[in-house]
Amino acid sequence: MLDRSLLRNFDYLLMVAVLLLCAIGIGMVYSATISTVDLSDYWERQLFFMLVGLVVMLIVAFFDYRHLELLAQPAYLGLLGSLLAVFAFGAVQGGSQRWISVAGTLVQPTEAGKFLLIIFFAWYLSRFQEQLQRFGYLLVALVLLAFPLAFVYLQPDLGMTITFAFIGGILILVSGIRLWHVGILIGTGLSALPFLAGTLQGYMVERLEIFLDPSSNPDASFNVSQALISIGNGGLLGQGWGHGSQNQLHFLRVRHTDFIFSVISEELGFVGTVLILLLLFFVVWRLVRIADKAQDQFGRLITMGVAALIFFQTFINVGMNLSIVPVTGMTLPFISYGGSSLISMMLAIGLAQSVVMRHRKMDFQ
Amino acid sequence: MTPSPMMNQSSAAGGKPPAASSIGTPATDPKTEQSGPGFSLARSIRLQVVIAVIVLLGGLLVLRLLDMQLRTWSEYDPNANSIDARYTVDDSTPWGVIVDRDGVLLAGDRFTYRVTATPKHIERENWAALSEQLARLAGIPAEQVWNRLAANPDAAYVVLASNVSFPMGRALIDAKQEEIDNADSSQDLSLLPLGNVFVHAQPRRFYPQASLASQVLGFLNAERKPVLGLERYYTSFLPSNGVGLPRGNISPRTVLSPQQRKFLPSGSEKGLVLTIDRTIQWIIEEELADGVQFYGAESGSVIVMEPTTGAILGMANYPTFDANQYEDADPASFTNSTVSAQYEPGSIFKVITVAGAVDAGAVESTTIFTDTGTIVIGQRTIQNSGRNAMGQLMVADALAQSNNVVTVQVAEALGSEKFYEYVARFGFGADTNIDLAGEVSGLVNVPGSLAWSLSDLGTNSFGQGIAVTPIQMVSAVGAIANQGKLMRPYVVQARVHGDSVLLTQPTLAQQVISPASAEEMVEMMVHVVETGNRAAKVSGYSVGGKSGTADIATAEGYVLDRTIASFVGFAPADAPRFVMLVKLDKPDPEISRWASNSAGPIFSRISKRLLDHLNVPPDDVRLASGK
Repeated sequence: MLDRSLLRNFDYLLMVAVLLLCAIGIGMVYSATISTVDLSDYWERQLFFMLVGLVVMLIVAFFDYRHLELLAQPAYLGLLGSLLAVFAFGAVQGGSQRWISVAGTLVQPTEAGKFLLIIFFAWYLSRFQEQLQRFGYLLVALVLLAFPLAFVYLQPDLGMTITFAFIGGILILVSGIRLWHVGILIGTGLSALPFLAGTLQGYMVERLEIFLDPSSNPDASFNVSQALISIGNGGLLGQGWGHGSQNQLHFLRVRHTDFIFSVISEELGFVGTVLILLLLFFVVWRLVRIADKAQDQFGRLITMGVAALIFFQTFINVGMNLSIVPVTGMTLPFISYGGSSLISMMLAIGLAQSVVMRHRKMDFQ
Repeated sequence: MTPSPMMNQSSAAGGKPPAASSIGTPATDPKTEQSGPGFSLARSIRLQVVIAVIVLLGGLLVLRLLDMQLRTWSEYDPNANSIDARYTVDDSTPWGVIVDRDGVLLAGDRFTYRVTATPKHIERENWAALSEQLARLAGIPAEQVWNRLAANPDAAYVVLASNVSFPMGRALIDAKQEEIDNADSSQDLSLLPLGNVFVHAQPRRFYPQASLASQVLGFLNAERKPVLGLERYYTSFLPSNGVGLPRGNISPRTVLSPQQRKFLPSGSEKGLVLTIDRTIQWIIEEELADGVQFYGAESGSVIVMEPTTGAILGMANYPTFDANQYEDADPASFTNSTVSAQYEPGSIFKVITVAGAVDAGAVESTTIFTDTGTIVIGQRTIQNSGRNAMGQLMVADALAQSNNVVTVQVAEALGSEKFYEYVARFGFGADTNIDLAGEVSGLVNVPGSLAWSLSDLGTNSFGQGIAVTPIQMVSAVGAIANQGKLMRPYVVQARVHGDSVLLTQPTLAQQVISPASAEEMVEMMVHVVETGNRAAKVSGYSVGGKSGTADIATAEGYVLDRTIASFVGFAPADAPRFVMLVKLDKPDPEISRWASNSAGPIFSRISKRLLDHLNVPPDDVRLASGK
């Protein structure tokens, strides 16, 4: 199993980029939390999470991803089951049921759900790859996607619904369905939007309103304004690491998680932020490249799913910091503070590594 | 791989069941890659589309960053943009006027004019004549007009002058109208000398009473954004394009007296009529400023409220500021501390403890307790402020002597559950919902919360370890003076929108204690002034009240020798016309150690002047004539 030839195909550049991002993340978490007494050890914890994540990544990389095909159906049932469990036993936090309590710790099933969704759809779309040309199979794929989407939407968690829809949509799009089917789907989706608009929950409407007209509610748009001020403060070269006044004076809330990009912008400036964006997009590009090389459709789709996930989270998080998309609680991959977020991202990279390490069929004959 | 039941189901849903061969075909079979119709090409094109979308969206983020970080950056470069350029656009929406209860103007818009032109329609040979004409009519320097035209000869819009006075602006408008009237009907109006010059009204907020009631009013800043006070609280109502009156009992304009209507324009404009009385406001501001200076205090506050309605007659803080020159003032003085600052009230809170105990039937004013000088409650030893022991004394005398040990016993007799029930009913720990921006709700730790322990019942009973706002304190004592009825305090008595008026109805928040208990409390508080806080007496009138000298809590504990001295009281005691709180922050202990000798006398002086102003005859005259 641990063939030397496997190591030959390991994507070292991808790993270096990811570790670099993690290191920057630890540095920024340090800067964002060191002046807050209760949070001052968060950078150490983030370092620990990164080491755990690295081990997870290596273990997953050496595990043959093709075994995951066996897990695809249980994964889907597990996803639906855990989402149902949230309805049945879920803790209501801040007006929505997203968490279930496992041995006293609150876990959010939708975090793992992203991976279960990727694995299941990669399996379904590769398993019925040929039949996907027929509209019926495509329809089944859509129905299978619709169930988890509906549950997440009802939780209610708009951000995660859109994430699920984006990942599912990208996988269906690249799986080789007919172009006119794509057209029909997009058309139907767009015409359904007005009806969906009526079902938006109060908090969703509120956030959209704040996004469209920040002055309508200066208290609620406070953090968005503070983020914009932080970013504007940064200028070309930034105020210097540990010297951002918005950050150090705590004007910015949730600065070590959702709004860490604003901290980076303020302290490292335009040059720093563009460098980090380039690194993140480099990671996405490496993943797309792996997808292109993959020896089978299953591996290709898994990698595309991971690429879509990382890209989407990056875009939405940065976009929210820059006030071009509404605020949704989404973390910046590899950089935001948080164990489950970081470790799950490393796991995703491990999956992609597993695919690229086995992209030459010859090695396995 | 065995198809699961679920997959059978989905295959069926897909219409045709897949062919047997394709079920068995693993996705990795090389045949698949060749046989998939157009698969490889389609995939790579799609992959390219996906990559293109990624690059596009990534580019969008970078562009936005460029815009925010580098363009904004260049704006801070003094050479890139002058200060003027950033502040020329201001909001020119007129805001409604604010008048006091007698119609005296407290806040209103003053108009100046902005003169603009369309240079591209003005021939160069007419510049000199136009400059000269504008200089003559509107006093705009001819040189300035010429320069601004010359700077942008092809522009569609240029500001020639931005602060033209009202008469000059009017003169210019009249001259333009005259030109139009004299022109014959076939003439193109834009060819007239002033045809391409435009005059725009530009409101400026003005506070004619300068610093009077400035913290109540708040102000509009240079960008006409409301800062604090009424301007902030009524920010959606006051602008002429704001919301109208809420549904309710709308009355015609004529419910207001002609005097009140004097500065309230008719038509569609907005206005607020306050409960504040300018004279009362002036009296309390003057006495407060004198008091703060005399007793060497850092700051102070006074509130005067009508107990029967909750109407605020006067509300002052010192130091204060002039909203017309807010740029020069210390921003700390903008805060209305009477609603936005919380403090530990100290002994004046004993009134609340005793009122609760009397109402619950736990004690009477004549109940006798024994003061041994110390009492232990929840492992904390509590002493009297004078470190003395007074032996046996009645509740009424204990209140008059401000005895801590007996007050703790009264609170114990009431029980902690009931005590905090009364504290909440009197309105502590919650907003009073006064119509002013920035109200805070104080802090009351209740049994069951982590921060509470039994010793807190002891310290809370005499007003330590509990944070209240001045408006809460004055409302609560107002309830005692108003037969136990707690009224919601308010500052605006009428909202005016054109010809419609919405009068504020006094709102009963709660019947806190029974009228009989309230009467007993009033008698006890009169007894306090007669025998304890004698410096607060008002000659000719019977008044009730209580002083409090509170230690100041900080993060590091209580500050030695620095206190908040306050006095709360009402007059006349038989039918209170007002309830008043006087509060001095950190008076100099060298001058006066106790509130009874600082806040008390200020209360007395203000009360005398208010009773004169309100035309209340002395008790012997009034009560002899049968009220």
